[in-house]
Amino acid sequence: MSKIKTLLLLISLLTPFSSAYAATKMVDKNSGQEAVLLELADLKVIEAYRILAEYYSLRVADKKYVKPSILWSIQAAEVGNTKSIYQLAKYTREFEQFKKPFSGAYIKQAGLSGKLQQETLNLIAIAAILGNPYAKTDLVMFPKLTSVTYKQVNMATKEALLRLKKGKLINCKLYVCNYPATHSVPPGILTKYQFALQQHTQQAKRLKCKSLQQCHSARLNSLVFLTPTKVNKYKEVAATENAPKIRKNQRLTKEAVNKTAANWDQQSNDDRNNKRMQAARKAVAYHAAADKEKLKSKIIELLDKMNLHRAADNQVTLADIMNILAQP
Amino acid sequence: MVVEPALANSAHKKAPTDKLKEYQQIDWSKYTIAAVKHKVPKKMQGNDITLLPVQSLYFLPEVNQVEMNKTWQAAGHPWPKIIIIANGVYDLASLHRLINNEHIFKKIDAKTFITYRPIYIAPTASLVIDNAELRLSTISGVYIISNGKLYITNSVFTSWDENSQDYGVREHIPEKELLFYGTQFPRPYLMLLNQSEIYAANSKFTGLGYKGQMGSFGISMSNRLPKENSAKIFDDYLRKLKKPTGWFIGNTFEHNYFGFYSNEAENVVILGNIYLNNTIYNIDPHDFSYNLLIARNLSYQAEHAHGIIISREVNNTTIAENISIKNYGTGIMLDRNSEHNLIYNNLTMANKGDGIAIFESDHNLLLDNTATRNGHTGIVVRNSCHIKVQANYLFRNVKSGTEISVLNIDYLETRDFVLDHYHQATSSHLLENIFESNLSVAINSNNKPTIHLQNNRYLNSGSAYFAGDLVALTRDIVTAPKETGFSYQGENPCPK
Repeated sequence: MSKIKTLLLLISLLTPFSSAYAATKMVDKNSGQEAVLLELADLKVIEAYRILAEYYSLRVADKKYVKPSILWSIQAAEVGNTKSIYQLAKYTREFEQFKKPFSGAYIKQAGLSGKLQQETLNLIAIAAILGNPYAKTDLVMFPKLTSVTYKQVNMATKEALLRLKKGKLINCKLYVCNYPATHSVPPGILTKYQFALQQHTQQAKRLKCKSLQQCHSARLNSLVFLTPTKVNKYKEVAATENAPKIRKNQRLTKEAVNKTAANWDQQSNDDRNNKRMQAARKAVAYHAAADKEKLKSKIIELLDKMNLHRAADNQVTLADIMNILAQP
Repeated sequence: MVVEPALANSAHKKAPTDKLKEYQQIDWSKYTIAAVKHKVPKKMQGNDITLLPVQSLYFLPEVNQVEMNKTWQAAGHPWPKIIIIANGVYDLASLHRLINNEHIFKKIDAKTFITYRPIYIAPTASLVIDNAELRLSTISGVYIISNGKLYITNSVFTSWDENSQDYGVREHIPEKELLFYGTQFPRPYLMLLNQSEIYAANSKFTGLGYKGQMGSFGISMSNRLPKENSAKIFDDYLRKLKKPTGWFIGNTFEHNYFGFYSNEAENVVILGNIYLNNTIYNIDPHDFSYNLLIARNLSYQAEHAHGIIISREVNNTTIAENISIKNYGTGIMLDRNSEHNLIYNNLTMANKGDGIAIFESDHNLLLDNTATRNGHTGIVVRNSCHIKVQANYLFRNVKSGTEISVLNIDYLETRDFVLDHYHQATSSHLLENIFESNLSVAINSNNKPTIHLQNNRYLNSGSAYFAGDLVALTRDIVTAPKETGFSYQGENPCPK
C-alpha cells in the first residue's frame, strides 16, 4: 500500500463520519479502499473495524457480504462500537430464531441455542447502556413482543454491567472473535465504558425507579426517532403521490372545457348520447316495481343465506333491501 | 430466503373451478356468530399494561405518527404515551383498572369506555371487547395498532367526538381531493399488522379512518412493513411473523373511510356483514392479499366508489352470494392483475356504474351472477384474458348486458405500469348467460377482443343484440350451432 494512500485514508477515518451512510460513501471497492481498510484492520486500527462492519452490514442483502459483516461486527463489537454490538445482537437473534446457516461460520451453534437467546439480550443491554437508542427500546419491548421474560432482561442487564466493568463485552465462547487477535482493549475505550456505567448509575438514581424494568422504560422518554428530516421525507412522499392525482384532475378539467367548446357535430353527438342515456334511465325507472317483484326470489334466497351469519335481532329483511333500492 | 409476496402468491394459484368446489363444500355452521363467540377467551389474565412514549417505539409505522402529530399537538400532547398491552388477555374493564387514569382511559358506564391515547396490542396479548362499546377519541388522536389478537363481539367500536357526542364525522373534502394524502383530518382507526388475528361478530364499526400513507383507512390489515435487512431488530422480527388474518361475521361497518382494507392479508373471512355509507369503498382487499372469502354480505351506498373491489394481485379469492347495490361506482370489481378468483352467485343491482367489472385481471370465473338495473353495463371485461362468464343473468342494465373490450390505458396518470403491468388483449368465453332487456345492446365488443359465445339466450334487447366488433356478425352468432358456439378471434393474442 502506498504511504500517501494510507495517510489519506487515515485522515478520512479521523473525520467524524459515524453514520452507515458515511461508511458506504467512504468505502469504494473499486478504488481499492476496501482492501486498504482490510489492511488497516490487520494493523489493528480499530476504526477500520467499525467502517468495515457498517459497510458490510449495509450489503447483507447480497449473501456474499453476510459472513464479512458478521466477522467485522464481532471485531468492532469487541472494541465497544455500539452499532456493531447491536448489529451482532441482531445476527445472533436471527441465528437463534431462524437458524440461518450462513451465520454458523462465526456464531458457534452446537447446543447453544438457549445461550444465544440470552446472549442477544446481553448484547442489547450493553448497547443500551452505551447509548444505542434502538437497544434501549428493545430492552423494554423484548418481554412484551416475544417469549423473553422480564427475568431474562434483568439478568442481561446485570451481565452487561459486569462486562462493561471488566472491559470485555463479547463472550468468545459463542463467537469466533480471534481475528485479528485484539483482546487488549485500548485504554480510551475502557474510559468510555466507565463513563457510560457512571451515567447509567446516576440516571437510575435520578429516575428513582423501583425496578430495572421501570428504569429501562423511563429511559425511553428522551428518545425521538422521528427526526425533522424523516418528517419532511414523508411529506415529500405525500406530495409525490399526490402529483399524478393533480395531473389527472387537470386533465379531466381540460377535457370538460374541451367538451363545452366542441364543434357542432361533436356537440350534437354528445347531446344524442345523453338523451339516449336519459331515456334508458327513465325506462329502467319505469320498470322498477315490476323488476323488484321479479327479483324478489333471488333477493330472498341471498338474504336467507346472509342471515345465517347474523344475529336474530339483526337480520336483513326484504323490506330493508326494497327501502334501500327505493332511496333516490 | 424471503419470498416476494407476488411470487408466494402466484405459487399457490388454484383454478377458479376448484374454488367453486371448495365453496360448495363449506360447512357454514363453522362460520356463525356463535362460532366466533366460542373463540373468545373466557378468562382474563395478565397485568402487563404500560404507557410508553409513542416516539420511542421505532417499530410502529412512522408515517402514521407524522400524520397524527398535528392532532396530538392540538390536544396538547405532541408526542403522547401509547398504551401497550402485552402478556395476557384483557377486556376493557381490566384495561381501565390497570391504567387507572380517567384522563387516559375512561369508563363512561358499565359497558362504555373511551380511550384518549393510542393503543398497541403486542403479539403476546389479546384484547377482548365483548358486549361493550369502545370509543376512540377523535380530538386526542387515537388509533389501535395490533400485532396481537383482537376479539370484538356484540360490541360497538367507534371514533368519538366528545363535542358532538357522536362518532367523528369526516370533514368535507372536495371530491377531487378525496384521495389526496396529507389533506384530511386523521380520524381514529384500527390497523392489524403481522401476526394479528381479529375475530369480530355482531358488532358495529363506525366513523373510522382517513386517507393516509399506511393502512389508516378504517379497518385495515397490513403487512407493509420496512423492507428486509432493516438495521433494527424488531423491524425484521415483526416482518417475519405470519400475515394478518381474521373473521368478520355478521357485523355492520358504516361511515368509515373504507369499510375494509387489506395489504397482504391471508385467509380472511368476511361473511354476513353489512357495509354501508363508507366514503370510498365498502370492501377493498388490496395488494397481494390471498385466499379471502367475501360472501353473503350486503354492500350498499359506497359513497364515492365501489361496493366490493379486489385490486393488485389479490388472488384465489371467492366473492360469492353478496348483494352489492346502490353504490356510487361498480358493484363488484376485480382490478390490477387479480387472478384465479371466483365471482359466484352475487346480485349487483342499481349501482351507478357497472354491475361487475374485470379490469386487467386474467383467469377469473364469473358464474351464476345477476347484474341488473345498473347505471352502465352488467358485466365489463377489459384487458383481461381467460375470463369465463357463465350462466349469469344480465337484466335491464342501462347500457349493455356485457361489454368486452381492449383499451389502451397508458394515459392513466395515477397508475404505476411497472407494478400494475397490463396487456392490451382480452379473451372471454361467454356461455349459458341470459341477456334480457338491456337498454342498449346485449353484448358490446370494442377494439377486437377474442370472444367465444355459446348457448347464451338473448331476450328483448334494446336497439340491437350486438354492438361494436360483433355488430356485423349478428347472423353468424345467432345461427351458430349450440355444440360449438361462435368464436370471434381478436387482434391481440392473449398470453397463455
